[in-house]
Amino acid sequence: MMSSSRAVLQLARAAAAAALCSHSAETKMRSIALSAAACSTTATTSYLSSSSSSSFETALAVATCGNGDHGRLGHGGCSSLNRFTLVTGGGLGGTLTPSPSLSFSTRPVAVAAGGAHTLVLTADGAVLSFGLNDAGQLGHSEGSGYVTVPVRLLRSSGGEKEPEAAPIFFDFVSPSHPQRTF
Amino acid sequence: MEALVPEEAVAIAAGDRHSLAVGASGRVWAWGAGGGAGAAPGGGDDATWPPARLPRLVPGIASAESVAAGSAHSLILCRDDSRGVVYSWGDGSRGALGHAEGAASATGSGFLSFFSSSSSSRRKGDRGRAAAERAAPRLLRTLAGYDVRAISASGSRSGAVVAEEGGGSGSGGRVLVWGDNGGFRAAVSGAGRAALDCPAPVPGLLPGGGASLSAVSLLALGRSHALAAREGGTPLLSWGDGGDHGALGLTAARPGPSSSAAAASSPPPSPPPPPPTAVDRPHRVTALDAQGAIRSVSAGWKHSLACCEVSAEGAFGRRSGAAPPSSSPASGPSPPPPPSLFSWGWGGSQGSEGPLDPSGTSTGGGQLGAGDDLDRPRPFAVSELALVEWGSGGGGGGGGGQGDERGGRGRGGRQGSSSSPPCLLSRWRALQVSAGLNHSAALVEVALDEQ
Repeated sequence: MMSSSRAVLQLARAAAAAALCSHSAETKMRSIALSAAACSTTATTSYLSSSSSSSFETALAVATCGNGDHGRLGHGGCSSLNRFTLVTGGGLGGTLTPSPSLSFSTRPVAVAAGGAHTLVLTADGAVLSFGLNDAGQLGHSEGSGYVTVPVRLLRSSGGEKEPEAAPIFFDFVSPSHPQRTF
Repeated sequence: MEALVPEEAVAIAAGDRHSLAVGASGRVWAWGAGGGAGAAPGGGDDATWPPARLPRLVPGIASAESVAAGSAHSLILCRDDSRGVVYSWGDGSRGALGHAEGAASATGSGFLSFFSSSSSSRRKGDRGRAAAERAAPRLLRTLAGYDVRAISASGSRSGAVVAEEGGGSGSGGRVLVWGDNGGFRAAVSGAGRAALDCPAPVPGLLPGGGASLSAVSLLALGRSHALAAREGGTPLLSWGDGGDHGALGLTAARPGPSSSAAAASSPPPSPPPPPPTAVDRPHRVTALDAQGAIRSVSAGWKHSLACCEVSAEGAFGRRSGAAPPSSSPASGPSPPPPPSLFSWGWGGSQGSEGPLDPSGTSTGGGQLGAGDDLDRPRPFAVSELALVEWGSGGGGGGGGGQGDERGGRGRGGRQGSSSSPPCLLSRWRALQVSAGLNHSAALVEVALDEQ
């Protein structure tokens, strides 16, 4: 077992490792770690109807396991995983900031596992998908291959109609620069 | 033609090769396979029912609450004058649409064909009928008089939780199923029928079938088995054909309520009887009786998932200072939180059977989340939630995270965490689960701080 702070750091590392853009991965890693460690905003347990008096710093996330063919687990590869493993890409890693206001835009609220693909519904009404796209079941591209990280496809209200062009997005939220990606 | 939707989604469903989303407006959006869905991955029927690669509006729906997706058909639960009604469309060849029009011979499958109905409707015979079934969602008049509370679909099978109309929110609990009954071992009235073209009640889930069964609100159909429970309550019920992998989660043979059917299939009286691989009416999953209230259930191809209520204190309350009795609150090993996530059934091991998918391509790989790929006929309490380095899974999708279809396999379920051992979280709880064909997904809440 490991401490959760290390876990956050690991998440940050995982997310940073996933960053394919030209920005410094180390900077992003630090910002995520700081946001998780320094901000003591309370709890996002309001999702539960049975709210309690106690509050904890928590975040909603998606975990997957099982057969990994065609990236249906969303971990950036196609290998199978026999433990439930947090999905950190595609903005879902952003839920690991403790501030509800910042994490809201990427807060998952439901998951649906299909034949060889997976859907994630977020609190702001977006849908993310990953896995096999041979029949277009991911809904975000004309490609018939597969996608191994979560990709958002439905725009939230007021969004543009044009589909996202790039297939991969990562959402890094820091307190000093609140941003809503996508 | 609208492509992407500037609308918030409020509910989702994933079929074998298609996807559905309910918008905040009550409309439904669909994308994915229009043909050949499910039964023959890679089959040629996509040519007949062209897939929709971007979300499209499903015609005629304005008050949707939830959606359910099977292999090649779809259901929509709508709120119509405060009554829950169901619409269905797609492949009705096995009766999955529930319109009491018979189960026709197998035809091409597809669910999005209304996008191409102008051309397909010109076809004759089954093709013409198939086109009509796909033309647009149709109201299930066979559910008239019921207030539908929940829907589920898997394979070529559909199900609904219904209450008598006007029965009030406290009533409910009746489960109706329709569609392909093969492998279901006559889990509905009308034993022996391979397909039901209209909703039929599940024995034991009728009012009066047992006090504990009278208020079911959660229903999860799998390929050959089903789960039902009262949300926020117990017990969990399981029935159907769990196969040799134990997807029913029953730990002891327990013939259901005395009946001729149960007597006919009663196990031999010899000591410890093996768990039944198939039961024709709902049984208690007794291993979960002592756990928290059922929050979410899901049945996949050959495995099952259940999520039980765990308090925030139970899941997260072990940080420093929160546990006075502990002698070493800082970093000492603390007892694991009460389990919130359970899995059972096929663990993904292929054993001597080889790939179980007829296509030979889609194998298992640890969908129980138990740290191995062994079968577990008894619910397994998942305690470990892992973090792995992104991309350590390797496989064909590396680099850009995208690949062509042929490169997307992980070589027979090889585990991706071999190079870097995963970090394991213990302070978490599951909130919702979904079982796919041979993978699992869960919505989890994780603790961020150690303070």
